[in-house]
Amino acid sequence: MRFPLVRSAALTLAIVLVMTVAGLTAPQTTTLEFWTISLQPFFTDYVNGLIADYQRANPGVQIKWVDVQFQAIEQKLLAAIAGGVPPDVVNLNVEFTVRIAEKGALLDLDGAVPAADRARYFEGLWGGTRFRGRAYGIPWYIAPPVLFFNSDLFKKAGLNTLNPPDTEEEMVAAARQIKDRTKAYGFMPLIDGTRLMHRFLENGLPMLSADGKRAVFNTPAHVAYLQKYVDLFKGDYFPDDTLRRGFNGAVERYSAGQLGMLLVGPQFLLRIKESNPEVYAQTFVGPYPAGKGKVIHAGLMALAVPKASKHQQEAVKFALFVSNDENQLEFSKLPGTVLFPSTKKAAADPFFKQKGAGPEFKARAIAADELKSGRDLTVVVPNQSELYKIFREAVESAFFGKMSPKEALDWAVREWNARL
Amino acid sequence: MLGSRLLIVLLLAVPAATWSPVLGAAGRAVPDAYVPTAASGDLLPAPREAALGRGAFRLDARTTRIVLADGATDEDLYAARELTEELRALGGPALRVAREREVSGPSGHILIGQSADHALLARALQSAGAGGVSRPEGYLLQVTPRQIIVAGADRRGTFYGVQTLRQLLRRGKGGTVPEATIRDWPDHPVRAVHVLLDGASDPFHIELIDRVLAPYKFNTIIAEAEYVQWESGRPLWAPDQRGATKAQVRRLIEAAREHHIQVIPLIATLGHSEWVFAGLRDEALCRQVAYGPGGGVTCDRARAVFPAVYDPDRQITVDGKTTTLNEALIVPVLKEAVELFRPAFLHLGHDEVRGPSGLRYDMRLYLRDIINLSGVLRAMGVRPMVWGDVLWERREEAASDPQFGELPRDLTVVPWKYEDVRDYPEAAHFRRLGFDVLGATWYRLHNNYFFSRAVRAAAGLGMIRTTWTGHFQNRAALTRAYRQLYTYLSASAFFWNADRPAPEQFPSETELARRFAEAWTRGASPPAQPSAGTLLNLASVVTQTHIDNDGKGWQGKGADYDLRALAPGRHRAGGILFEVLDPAHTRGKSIIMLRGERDVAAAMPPHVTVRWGGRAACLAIVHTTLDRAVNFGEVVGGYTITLAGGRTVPIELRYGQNISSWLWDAERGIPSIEQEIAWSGRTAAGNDVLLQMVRWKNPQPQTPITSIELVSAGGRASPVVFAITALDRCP
Repeated sequence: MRFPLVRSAALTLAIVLVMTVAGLTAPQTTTLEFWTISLQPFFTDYVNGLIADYQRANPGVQIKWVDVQFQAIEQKLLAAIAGGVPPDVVNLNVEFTVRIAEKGALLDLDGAVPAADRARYFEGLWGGTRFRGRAYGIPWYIAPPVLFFNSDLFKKAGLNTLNPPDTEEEMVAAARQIKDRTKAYGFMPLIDGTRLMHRFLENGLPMLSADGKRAVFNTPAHVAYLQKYVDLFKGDYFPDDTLRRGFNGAVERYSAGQLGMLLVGPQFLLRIKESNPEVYAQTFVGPYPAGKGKVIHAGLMALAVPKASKHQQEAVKFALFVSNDENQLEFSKLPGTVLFPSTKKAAADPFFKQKGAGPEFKARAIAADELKSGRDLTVVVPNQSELYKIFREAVESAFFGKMSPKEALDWAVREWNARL
Repeated sequence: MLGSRLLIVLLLAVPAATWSPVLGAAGRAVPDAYVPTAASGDLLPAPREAALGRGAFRLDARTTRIVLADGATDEDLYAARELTEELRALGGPALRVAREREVSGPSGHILIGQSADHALLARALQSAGAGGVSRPEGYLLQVTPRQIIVAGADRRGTFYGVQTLRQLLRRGKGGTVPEATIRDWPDHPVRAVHVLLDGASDPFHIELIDRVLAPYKFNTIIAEAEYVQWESGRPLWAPDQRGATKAQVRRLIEAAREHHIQVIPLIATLGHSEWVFAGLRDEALCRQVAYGPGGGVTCDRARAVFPAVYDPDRQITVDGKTTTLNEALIVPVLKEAVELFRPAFLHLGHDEVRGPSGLRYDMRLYLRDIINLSGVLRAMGVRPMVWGDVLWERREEAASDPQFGELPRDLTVVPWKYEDVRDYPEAAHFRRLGFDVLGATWYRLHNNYFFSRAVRAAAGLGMIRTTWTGHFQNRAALTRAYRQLYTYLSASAFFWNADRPAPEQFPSETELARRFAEAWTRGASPPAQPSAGTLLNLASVVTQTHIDNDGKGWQGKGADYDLRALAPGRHRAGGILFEVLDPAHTRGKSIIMLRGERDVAAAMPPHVTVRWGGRAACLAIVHTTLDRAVNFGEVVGGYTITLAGGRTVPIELRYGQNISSWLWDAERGIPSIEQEIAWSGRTAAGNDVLLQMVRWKNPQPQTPITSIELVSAGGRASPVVFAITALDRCP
């Protein structure tokens, strides 16, 4: 958001007046450190503009922006907090937010943000970062996943590019067909690490009992679901680095023209375009092939304030500015970007219903439609890092043949139940 | 008899707060509160062929000699010294080292060397009818009641035979050696550990070589060396001062050489090149060389946030001269590394090479960089090595690039995979393409077992066990990332012998942690003597039961998730006796559970005082926590020991160090060498569980202890005490 000239001029005048009255004493400058996740280089100009606007409106405040890669953010943040030099505002996903909140390192934002401000966000999203009843993140943006597919590989496999798979079952069938007929992999399913939890939930398979005190993800239905993917893996229907590299590996493989379908947030389109314009040109978009649960995991990005910030009040103010209606709307409107705002007013903007040419427009329309069934499905449990690690080990054990899917899930449920 | 009963009743009537030195303790005196235990467990690595007999060779300081060849070198003498040091650590006899000409025959002696240059040893072999082992690094170890022969196929073989003999010595506590005939040789020519060099490498890595790596038969160190204080490239770059100095590296190389270990430097180039960006004097230059669409990336030295990948060919200006990063920094550092290490190989890194925000790195640029840097190394007579992840994950793309054929065929590719996977097709893939292969593993058991077998099947060069404790963390690794160190032992086993033991028969991690700690502390203190002591009777202060028959004990989850596997009665840990109460005999309670956040602990007392009145040189307290603490090192409670006269001595309970959860830590394993495991078992549901033990040394052993106060910090990881043993003498 660019600050309107008139307002800017008025603000400058106000500052001059204040300084005159105060006898020209130099104002104290507060420097806030703002960490984002992987927004460079694609959103560098936008974030710099945001910062410039804020600084203009708040002359005593300087913002120092640090962009950290997704893989490094949690470790860097914990090190910074332990070292007594935390950022003041930090962009985290729900999983990281809950994990760090559990360590007692984040500010309770239910307490720090006035009710009127909280009401601007969708209630479900505001509560998305709740741990033990308190919220630790201000919702920023969401990116519901869509299906990108390589039309060239689709055609070679004899699939109809105008009729992409609509359900998870159809996607699996299409992936088999692509592999069988083209030798290229059809997909890299999002089952790495803890993402299988999201898939369970998308298929109506719960992780916990209703009271949250017992793990229940070893029913025959859960086992059958995992078994299906283990069989696909054994049949070489997705590559062996799927579990290790997740969506980054999938984006890389897709960008090389060696993957039929890609399930990611629509913002990844920019990376595909930059990495390989040819593959971008062959890319078609379809809705995320839904599971049986009528719900889609739409990852929420939030803004958190470390408790150790020396400027908590200013930090909250800045985080609210970054995520306000105007700024979120501007973020969503950036060319080539497909993101959705977390505030009610911004989300209601007619922009999200506009039609146009190019995969971005299609992706936006599809993702906007998906929002009604989108939820951040991160499983919030105490002792999260260890429970997640156990779940990951179980999934890997099933895929890599150390245990059968039933043994693996039984083992993980036992370990969770001893700890819950 | 009646009189003594009356006396007991009267004594019990004395108020608990009153200390009486005559009274002794509310406990049971035992003569064997501590007894030293002989090392147990199988030989690691498992020998190829081993036949154990019933007899033993008796070591005698007056007559037994360690006999070397007349022409023995410093290296042979070094192997003999290892043996004498082992005996000293075990409290065994001090043996003299002699040349073959100094003894009349083999009888009563330990003969060490290669038969080709040790005539006495050759004769002894012949008369014993024992064929030697000719495979590289192999050895024959024969122990009979008459003599001991360590016959190596080469010097390394002799050295490894001596290491096996050291393990056998421990079984006889240094006084005897059990009869055995062992024929042994390794599966892999290269058995490496990867380490990150820093300012603590000397002494840490030198001690690691001496106490663990060489005894467990590793023969190579891959030393990640980008943070060494290089002098090259200074106009544009400066090294991190926390890095190892070149003098430290020289000492490390010398220590390694003495132990038959080659050191291969690894300089992370292209991928994981934060060291390059962090050292660049000009942050604008940092943005300039970063790979990706021009500029706009964070280069923050204070925050250590940098890009991870550079463009080696991008033109930059340094001191007014146009150059590239490779020319100005990377190649000079490689040359300096070759000069320092004088290695046969140099590892160029090149892993996880991808642009910012997951952008695909240009394959042509990637391959060209390997070709260019390999050329630089070849000119210095050094073979190149690269990580294999990019060449594997993007194999179709790489193979279709015309430059792929130009990759030097003396390149060693190091695919890494750290999961417990069964299949490692990378090994055969790279061998088919004509490259040498080293498989790289991490700490997991099956990972090391199956990968080692896959590389052997593909006739690869060997294996590397990687270590990822973070840069500049070596000093802290033992106390914070111990699992990464004690699992060196499983890697050593499978790198030497890819067949045995099968993972199912392999010692547990608890046992590996104990063995590593034993190796690490060997010789640090004189061998312990037996000690009498007292098993404190906690019956009057117990608050809960560890056997949950009704859903109200232990964690409140019933019989499936309790500690019934810990049988009431006496147990021994590290030689120390402790006694677990039987709830059936103590009003349904057996443990001191303190207050904590979990439901079952919420109603427990925040502190409990154990009153006593006896002398002890040491206390051993068996305990655990009811749940996991969020932060490593968090203080979860404490014990305060009060001595007669009022002096108090605190013990702080730090989570992960001297106390941990009763459930096996899936993330950290046993996280600290400081942690002593008292007992391990399994719940009825199948969870691996364990108790820890903390030892406390009394600063005034002659002064009686009046009380031990147990306090909880009240968090989720609230302490639970199972037993306290007082020892007359500290082990």
